[in-house]
Amino acid sequence: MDYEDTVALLRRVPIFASMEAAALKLLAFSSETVTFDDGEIICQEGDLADGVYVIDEGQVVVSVERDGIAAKIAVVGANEVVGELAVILNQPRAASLRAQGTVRLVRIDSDIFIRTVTGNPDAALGVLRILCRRLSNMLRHYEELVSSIDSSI
Amino acid sequence: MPLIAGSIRDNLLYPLQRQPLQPAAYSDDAQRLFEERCAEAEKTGNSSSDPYANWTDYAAAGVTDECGLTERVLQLLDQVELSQDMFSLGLRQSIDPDRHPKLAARILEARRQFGRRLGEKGLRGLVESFHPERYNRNMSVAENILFGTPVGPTFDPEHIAENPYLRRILDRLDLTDEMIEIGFRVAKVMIDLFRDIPPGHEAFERFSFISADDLPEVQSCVRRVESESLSEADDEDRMMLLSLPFKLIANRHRLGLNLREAGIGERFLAARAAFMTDLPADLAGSIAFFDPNAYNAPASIEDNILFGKVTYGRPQARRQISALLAEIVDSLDLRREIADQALNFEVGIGGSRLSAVQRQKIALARACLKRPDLLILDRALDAFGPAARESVMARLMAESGELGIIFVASPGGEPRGFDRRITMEAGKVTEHKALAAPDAPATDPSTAGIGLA
Repeated sequence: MDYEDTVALLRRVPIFASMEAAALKLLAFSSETVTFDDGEIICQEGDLADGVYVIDEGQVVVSVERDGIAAKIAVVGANEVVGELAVILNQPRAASLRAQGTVRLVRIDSDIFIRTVTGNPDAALGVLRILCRRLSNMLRHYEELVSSIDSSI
Repeated sequence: MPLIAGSIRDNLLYPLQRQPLQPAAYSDDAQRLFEERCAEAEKTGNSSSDPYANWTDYAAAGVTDECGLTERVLQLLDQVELSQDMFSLGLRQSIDPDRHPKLAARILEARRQFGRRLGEKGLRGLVESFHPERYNRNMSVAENILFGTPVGPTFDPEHIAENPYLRRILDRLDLTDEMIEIGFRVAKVMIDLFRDIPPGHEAFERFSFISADDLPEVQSCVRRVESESLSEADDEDRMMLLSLPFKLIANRHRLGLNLREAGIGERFLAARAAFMTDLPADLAGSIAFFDPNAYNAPASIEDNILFGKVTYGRPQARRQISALLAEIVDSLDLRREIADQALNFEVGIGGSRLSAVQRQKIALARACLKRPDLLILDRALDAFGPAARESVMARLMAESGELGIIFVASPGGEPRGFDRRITMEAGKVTEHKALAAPDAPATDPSTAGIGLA
């Protein structure tokens, strides 16, 4: 996957879609294409956040562990970003990421990601939109849970 | 006291070297020269202490000779929980197989076992071995052609394009023009990527083939070549463009140059063969070629064991390879000797090549080596996390016999195990309290420690 293919992949990702070409090319060139086999751990809950992952092929399972039990939160597929929250918040990983099938990812170094987003208003707006959409989805999910609990009482 | 520029060994032994204790052994001529220097020094009021004498006070460290001292040093480094770091640093060191033939032979055995175990565990894809007839996609073009470890500056990969011998090889194989063409395409990509990046941006240092200082010159070169043609470019422009493709690593730099389809890998292999076969005798000492059955002296211990390059794009590779390497090193009982080599690691000015925690651990081991009656630690472990500080201090107290310790702690950084706490504010003692067990050391009052906050 050469760097122009990576540029094309990043363009399909909402966070980067509006970013200016020069910044996108630098992100692409400085990134690393990595491959994980089925079941391999991409990163573990509690690990230091060293990068953001853009999924090129395959699916990534997002899970958290509570009392020794792994709970699947989401399955994320191609053209999506994973791992960006821990990088933005500068905190350890809040969830584990595992490959489902063979997965090919583009890994963007944390420092490069933060510099790019903070230096590009369009990219920063893209990140904000992603986070707001997730917050909105979580609130809706919470409302559905509360509603189902209320109706069962 | 901060670390000095020198090796880890130099830093650790510094407090033991206060005066010459054992004279150096000189030949007749050298002895005469030494006596002349001493006489001159006395006349001019300078020190006549011989810097080449043995200054090490073994008795102060509680040992009798160099072997005992090394063993004591490694024990202390273990006590301050630096053993794993020493092992990792040791792997990065190189050894002279003539001076350490047995160690070199055991490292070669580790190489053989490593290669075999890679296959048994199904991990061959994680390391691309050095094979004389295969292009290694995880090495640069320069490294592939040289197929060895440079000794000295002659074949320094950073300046390889300027080497006359290599230039003759490339000319003979009709590779020069093709590489200049590739260099022209690389230059255009680099300009496209970095022209709007400010100088000093870390992206230049980490990712660019061209420094920020050289970028304007390369831009001018590309403009000149674009307005004329590559064949009409002058020597300076051709040299500038020729230097770029040597840095390309096929599996790392995905510039869309389609080098594989162009069959250029095979042409580089031909250059490798010609480079090895035609190397003149006066350049033979400037490179150590990769030989699966021989120890490569200028390469690191780790590179000698791996005898290949870790594959790009497999993040689990480094972890799995490190685990396998550690397993083999332990099975061959090599860990201690590799850690011993780490004592030769150069720490840089003020220990700049080490992390803050590593610097503080070495400083602590240095202080303990001379077996003081009283150890004063003035915020000496501030870079440690709380758990590491507790662990190191607990081991120090348990293993240091009758050592008294005064620990000056930052707020919240007070370790356990002391029998007295003195709190000071604005230069005045505001609290002086005996600490009740279990915080106090177990039984022996002579191991009393005082914590200052």
